[in-house]
Amino acid sequence: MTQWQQLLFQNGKIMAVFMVALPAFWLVILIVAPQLMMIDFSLWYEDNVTLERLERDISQKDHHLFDLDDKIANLMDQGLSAADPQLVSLEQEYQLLDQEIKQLMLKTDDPPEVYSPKNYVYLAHNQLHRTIFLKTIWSSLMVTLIAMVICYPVAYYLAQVAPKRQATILFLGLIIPYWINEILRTFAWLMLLSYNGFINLFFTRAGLLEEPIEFLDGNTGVLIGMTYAYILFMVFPTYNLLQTLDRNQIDAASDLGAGWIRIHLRIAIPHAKPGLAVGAITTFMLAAGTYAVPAILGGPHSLWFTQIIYSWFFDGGNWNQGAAYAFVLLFLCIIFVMLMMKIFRVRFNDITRRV
Amino acid sequence: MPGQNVELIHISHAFKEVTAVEDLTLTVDRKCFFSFLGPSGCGKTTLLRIIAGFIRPTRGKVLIGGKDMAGMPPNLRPTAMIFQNLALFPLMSVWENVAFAFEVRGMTKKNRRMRAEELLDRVALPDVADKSPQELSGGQRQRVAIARALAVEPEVLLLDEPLSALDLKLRQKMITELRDIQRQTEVTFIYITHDQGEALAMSDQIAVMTEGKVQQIGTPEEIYNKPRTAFVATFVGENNRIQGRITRIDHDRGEISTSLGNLTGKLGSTDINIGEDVLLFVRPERCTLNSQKEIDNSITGQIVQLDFAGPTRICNLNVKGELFKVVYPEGQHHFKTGDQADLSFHSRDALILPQGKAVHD
Repeated sequence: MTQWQQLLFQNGKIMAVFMVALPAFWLVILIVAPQLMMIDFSLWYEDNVTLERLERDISQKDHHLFDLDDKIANLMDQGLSAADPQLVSLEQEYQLLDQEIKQLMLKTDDPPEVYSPKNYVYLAHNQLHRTIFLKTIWSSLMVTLIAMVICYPVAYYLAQVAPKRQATILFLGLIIPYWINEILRTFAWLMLLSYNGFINLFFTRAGLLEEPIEFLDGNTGVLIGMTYAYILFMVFPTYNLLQTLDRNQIDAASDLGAGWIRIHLRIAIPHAKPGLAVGAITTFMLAAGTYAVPAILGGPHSLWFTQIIYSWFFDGGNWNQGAAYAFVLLFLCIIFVMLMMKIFRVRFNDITRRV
Repeated sequence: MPGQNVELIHISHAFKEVTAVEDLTLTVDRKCFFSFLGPSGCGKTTLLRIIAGFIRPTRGKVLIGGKDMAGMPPNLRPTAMIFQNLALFPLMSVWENVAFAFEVRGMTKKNRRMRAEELLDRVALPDVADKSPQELSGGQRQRVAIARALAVEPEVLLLDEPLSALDLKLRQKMITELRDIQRQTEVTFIYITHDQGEALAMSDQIAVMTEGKVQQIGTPEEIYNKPRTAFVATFVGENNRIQGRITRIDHDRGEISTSLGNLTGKLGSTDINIGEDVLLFVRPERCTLNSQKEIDNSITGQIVQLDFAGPTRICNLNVKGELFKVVYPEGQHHFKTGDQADLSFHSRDALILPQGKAVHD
């Protein structure tokens, strides 16, 4: 029996068609088509030189048209009759010119598309954008690393140490903040971290700080906000795996003489590896692709690459350039995923199987 | 010197309201194969984990080789444990599993590998060093677990029902092997099981436990032939049980009056007085059917069931509403279900014990 026949047999015709059509729709319309469109956009640009020449042409012709109009009006004022041959020829000239301008105007509505790698070359040559790009990647890596360091003990505690009731309460504590919109949460951090914010107020009043700290000027605020925003995506897959770790494995290692560091390094972390990898990939992707957190918590020195992409699309009005930037980011994220999986020695089916 | 003794002194442990072990005091001799035998939930696993150091007892002391183990974590105790599910590390190869204790001690990789292979040879498992534990059979995994535990050169090896997952044939084979390994290594073995067959076959000493208390300590023969409580008599091996009241005591013999008439047996305890309610136990293999000889206890019943068990036949007899089990060599009798038969047993083979908590089946 082929797979299709089996599906048909098990689910009936309507369900079987549905079950095939929906993933196909998802795959083609939601994944492949937008990406292809973006790649296409990134590979051409509007030929502005030709466009400008065209527009200059039009304005010259416009002047000429006005001149003609003036001439005709003058001649009419001098009392020349409409049937006068001089006036008729001028009138004809005017009509022709008007037609010509209209056609040229049509051409400017649809500017010429030129395929070239120019959009990518532009990024490579723009030192500021390049720096921001590398800084975004670096900062996202830092966020991933910090999230991993914070989340592993939390996940371990939840999965192996906490009694059931306590774990439930802690889980609620972790999840409830996520019921609030990300932008609102980020604004809450803005209030906490700002120059006259709660944290600075607390520490200066307590006498622990002489001067308030400028969290929001550099990267600090962005890193804090982002680690907070995405840590759950690290906790859950890690927790899921640590929960499946047999308590006897830990006891056995301890019985064989291992101290707690070795137990974690040799037993618990290797067991949780696919979860950590999934968490790292998700966190990195979200961090590299975020817009709200750096926009709200960042200063002029902590510009995120996504903010530049945004401005190409909405402020600069150059979608092609934006698409190229976006594609470079996507490409780098894919490379990062591959690298992560190589480093953690995790295969794709480990991820799909165990999480 | 391997093989230290283990002294348990007034050990008590309670989980919240449930008492798992109650004021238990006993000594396990060095180089001894000692079994704790009891039904599940009798506190034997808790006791083992207390000895290993995973659980701190509510009260009492554990001494190993005379040294107090109070406050000592499992990794510092001279014990090694074999877990019920073996707890082999699935992400390490077989030799890495065995060499884990060497790794902890900071041995070089080359030495670790060499020592691990020695241990694998010792448990008769050559050529599996590079496999993953999941690729091995149940019996092989068992042996890897033993090798891994022996790597710490323990004074005391603690075994938590490690054979329970194996099938019958393999279990019997492993019983012999465990016994051999214990003799070879001279390590003290403390073995936990609910399977009386395993305990009887392997142990030098058995402690029968129920509800957190030790009922009896003794050699397998003593436990089987001279049970001191009704619980031991019913839990270890099969026993026919008749309720009655004691009417006469003559040295070590007693006579009881039962619904089946007067029966005589040996007194299993000095603590029995005339007029008390007691239980009389007799093993199925000690009963005979239609005996020609004069035997002091004899009753007549009807055969209700005959089971073929290879070399023997198991016969269930209904005597005035009480069910008796008799085992005799196959071919000795040719009964049919419904036949009448005389059941008899010597008073020296019957044991009179005070009524206590017995295992109800």
